[in-house]
Amino acid sequence: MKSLTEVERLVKKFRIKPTVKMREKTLADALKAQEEIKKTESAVTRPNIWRTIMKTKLKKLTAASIAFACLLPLCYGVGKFVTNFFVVDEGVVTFPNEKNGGDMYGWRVGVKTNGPLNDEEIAKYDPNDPNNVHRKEEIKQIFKELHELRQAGKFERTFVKEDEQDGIKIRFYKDHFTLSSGKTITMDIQESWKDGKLIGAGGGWGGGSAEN
Amino acid sequence: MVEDKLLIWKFKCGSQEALSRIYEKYDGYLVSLATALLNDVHCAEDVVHDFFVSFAQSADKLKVDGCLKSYLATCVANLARDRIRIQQRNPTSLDEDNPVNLTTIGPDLLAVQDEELQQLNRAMSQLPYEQREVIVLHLQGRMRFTQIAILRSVSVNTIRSQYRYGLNKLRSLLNHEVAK
Repeated sequence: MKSLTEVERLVKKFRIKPTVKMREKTLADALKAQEEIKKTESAVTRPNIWRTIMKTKLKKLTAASIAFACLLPLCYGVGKFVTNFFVVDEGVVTFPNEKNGGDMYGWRVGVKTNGPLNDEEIAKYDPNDPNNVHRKEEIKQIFKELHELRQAGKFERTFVKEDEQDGIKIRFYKDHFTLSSGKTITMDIQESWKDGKLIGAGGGWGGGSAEN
Repeated sequence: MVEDKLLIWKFKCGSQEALSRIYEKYDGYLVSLATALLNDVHCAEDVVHDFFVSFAQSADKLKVDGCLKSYLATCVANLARDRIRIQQRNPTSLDEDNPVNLTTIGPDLLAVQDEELQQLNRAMSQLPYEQREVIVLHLQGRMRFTQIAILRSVSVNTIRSQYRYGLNKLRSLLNHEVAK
């Protein structure tokens, strides 16, 4: 008669030795599976550089500073090539889009400066440029009037849409100006808001238009 | 224990050497456990093979809070239980009436050369699966009743009862075989 202790001892003693073939196959398959999963992971989960940069505020600011530092000379560089540029609003310089012709005024936002267009800048405007149909005085008058209208708040603003990115709300508007000549000019405006505070604004035609 | 922790860490870092070492260290133990649970060496080998392949693929998800040995035993026991369920659903592959004959497996397959152990295997095959699992996990897997209770989602007292009933039945079966 076996006691319970003897039965327990017997069960503990029970051992199976796996075959060599089985051991080799299992190990080979497991190693292969591990290798495959490593390859898949490295391809699928390769970290996105933006995810890395945008993890902390400090990194975000650093990335933004670097981007700004790189873009600034580039913008000034562009300014050198584009001879026609005007200040239409405080801090915003626009360049005439020379590809636009006819009655359309096309402009794109360039670099930021401090203050409105001065005579020296106006002098850079070349009325003989065959690609640009606008005359110097006319352009000068338009931008002077635009500047005054904006300063006086004499324009109509239309809300277009609102986007949100990283907690910053970006509101898009269209500002409609009516000049004394009867021309109407529409300007695209973007405003960035965070926690109910305006943190930045910019605008331009960006291919916008002026119509009679 | 420290070696196991180190192996897990290396394995999670993608070390093939660590995986090989884990396998070499525990394959015999896991095959014995699976064989005792399934009463079929080939089926046990399949279970251990499948387990190690999925184990190798889950390095990043692996969370071993306690002992690696218990973790491996738990995984293999779960797979063995799944295998038993599949067998029950598919009666054609059910081999309950013919418990594995250890002598037909061949000398290289088994370290069991003892008549006594063959009797044990025959007796084990006649136990209900729940009782067999508790006995095997507790005595061979060195798992505590509380760990088995968590694994099976039942109370510790149920596990203790199953162990006691199973062991008594095993003893009577073995004594009956000896009397024959």
